Amino acid sequence: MKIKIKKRLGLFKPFAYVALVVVLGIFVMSIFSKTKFVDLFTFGLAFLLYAVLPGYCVLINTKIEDWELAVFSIPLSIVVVTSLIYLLNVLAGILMSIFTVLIVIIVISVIGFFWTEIKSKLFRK
Amino acid sequence: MKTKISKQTITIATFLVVIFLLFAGFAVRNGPFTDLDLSKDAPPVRTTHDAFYHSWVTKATSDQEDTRTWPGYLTQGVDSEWFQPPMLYVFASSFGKLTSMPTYQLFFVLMCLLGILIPLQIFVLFKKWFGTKTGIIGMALALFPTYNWLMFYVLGYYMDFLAFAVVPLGLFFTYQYFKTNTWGYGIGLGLIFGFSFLSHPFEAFFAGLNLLLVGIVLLVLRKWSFKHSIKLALWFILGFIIITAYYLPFFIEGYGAGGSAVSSYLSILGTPSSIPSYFWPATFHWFILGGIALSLIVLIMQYKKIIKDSNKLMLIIFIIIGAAFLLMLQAGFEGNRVMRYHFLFYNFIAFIPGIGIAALLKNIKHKLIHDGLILGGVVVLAILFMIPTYTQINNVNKNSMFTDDKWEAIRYIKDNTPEDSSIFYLYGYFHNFQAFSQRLSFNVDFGREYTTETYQTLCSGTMPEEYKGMFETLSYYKERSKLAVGRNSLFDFKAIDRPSEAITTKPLESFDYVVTQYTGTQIQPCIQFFAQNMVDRGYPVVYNNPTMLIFKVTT
Repeated sequence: MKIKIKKRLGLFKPFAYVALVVVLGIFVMSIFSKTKFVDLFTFGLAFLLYAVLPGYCVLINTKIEDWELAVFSIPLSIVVVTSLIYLLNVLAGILMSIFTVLIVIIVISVIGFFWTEIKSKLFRK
Repeated sequence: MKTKISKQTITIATFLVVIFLLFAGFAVRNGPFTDLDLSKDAPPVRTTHDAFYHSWVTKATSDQEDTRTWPGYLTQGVDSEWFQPPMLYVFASSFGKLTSMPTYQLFFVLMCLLGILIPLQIFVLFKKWFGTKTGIIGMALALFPTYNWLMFYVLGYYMDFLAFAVVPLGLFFTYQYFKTNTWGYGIGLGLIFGFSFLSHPFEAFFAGLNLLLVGIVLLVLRKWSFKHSIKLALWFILGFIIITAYYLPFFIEGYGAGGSAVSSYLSILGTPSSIPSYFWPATFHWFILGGIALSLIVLIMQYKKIIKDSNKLMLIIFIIIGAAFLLMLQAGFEGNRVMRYHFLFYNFIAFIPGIGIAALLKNIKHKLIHDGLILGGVVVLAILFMIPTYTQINNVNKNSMFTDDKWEAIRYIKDNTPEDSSIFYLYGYFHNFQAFSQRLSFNVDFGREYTTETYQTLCSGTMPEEYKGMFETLSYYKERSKLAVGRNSLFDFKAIDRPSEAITTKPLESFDYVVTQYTGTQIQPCIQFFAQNMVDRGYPVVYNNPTMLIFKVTT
């Protein structure tokens, strides 16, 4: 299990590149803009958490190239996270609070990360 | 198999990062609007009512954390069903929960990011199907659809933007489904299309055409069986239904109902009248069309040299789609919906010319010149698109009638008065004040037929004791009560009357606060007479700035 997790974490190199671009963006903006650093920092963090991580965790289960993994994880994250938050709101009446958003992100990311194990347990004969 | 990232790829990536930072730099700066301050809690873009409307609804969604009903202050406290396509607001407001950046600013930053995301996706698709160099050229051309990402600030089209932003992902999923025959891609495709639908149902129709054409061509060319097709259709429908089932009855019952009413609240803002003259710059129009024609000719000549056998399939797909959209253009989708073509013509504006230009450049054998031309071309394209856009935005912003002084008066009302306060706005901008201050307001806007007498009285030097005006509210449907096939499609909505919509006459004393613009109006002496009279009557001024005055009326 440990080896599997380590192996999967090894697939996070493209994610690191995306994070690097985000950090670079925050750095540039903090120098050239009047925006408070805390606003830029939390925006960067929110971008990685909301718009990259969940989609990335889902896509690492597919056999696609690093470029595709890094780029398509962004729209996929937006689609999946936003849709789930919306469905929880309209079907179960759960408000779109910070806790809902975080829980949705964590659930999607964890399911995506451990999908191979989950799938093998769910569908084993 | 996952490929290792080579030195060449890193070089290209660095180049891309530089290009996109250039664009992002402009984007997050919000041009001339924010003065580089994204921490300011105010609507940064004050031009069209779309710019106000969508950022404001996002703010309202963020505040009430719910998309099932409209905010109470717009419906006079009556719970009213939410008929607007929700996804744009859910996306921006839920994203905003994780950052301290004010929602008004965040909304436009996110729109900018989508603008950058679209060409990035195009690059990856091109790279996959036609190679890296074609990918770079295609990306630069794909900036054409989004070259006016800054324009989104001043014009709107935000819902459309989000609806199209996921189309390249949809194309990728379609391709992957046929390649791997995995159910996940099928259901994902339905989700993506559903997401697009909930962002803008009509734009989703065009997005759907795009996906459908690719699907059909792949289906035929890969000789998939009827059984396979049905399987894909079922996965797709399942994904689509999961996400749209709740909203579909609203769409059938009255798409946009409610939204249009809120739009009218904001519709009197200073929309610049000169939009059409720069919206589709004539020079670029012909420049691009000429480029497409040239590229097509070259493409036909070079077809065999540049395209690998495995990629010919994709090329055929895009030629078919391009032709289909040209037919649609001929069918008359014109006018101010040009923005749609920017997205719909990805295939024709970006894909095919991208390959054509790559084919042309292939003739240049010297590697340095060859690569230099590609990179130089991308930079030139970026600059060509950016400069006129930026220049125009500076001009547009000067036309805005919504100033900081007005915003500060709104903020005073919102932050310092009880939520059930009744506000009387004299002169204008009632709609903006009601929406942003989140207080019910009495409409005595200058220039309306029923307010003529009031302003004539004021200008003749007499203080009216009563004022004719109206509350405008938003209440269409209270609840989706039961399943009933018939009058209201699938569901029966309980319609309710708009309360207090009629024109009424109210004495000044019936309001809690009076807000008035005493400078910069067409009837400045009349308003100043009113203000002086209020002071003489002993009503305290609780807030003032060089433009606005706020009186407290009730004790």
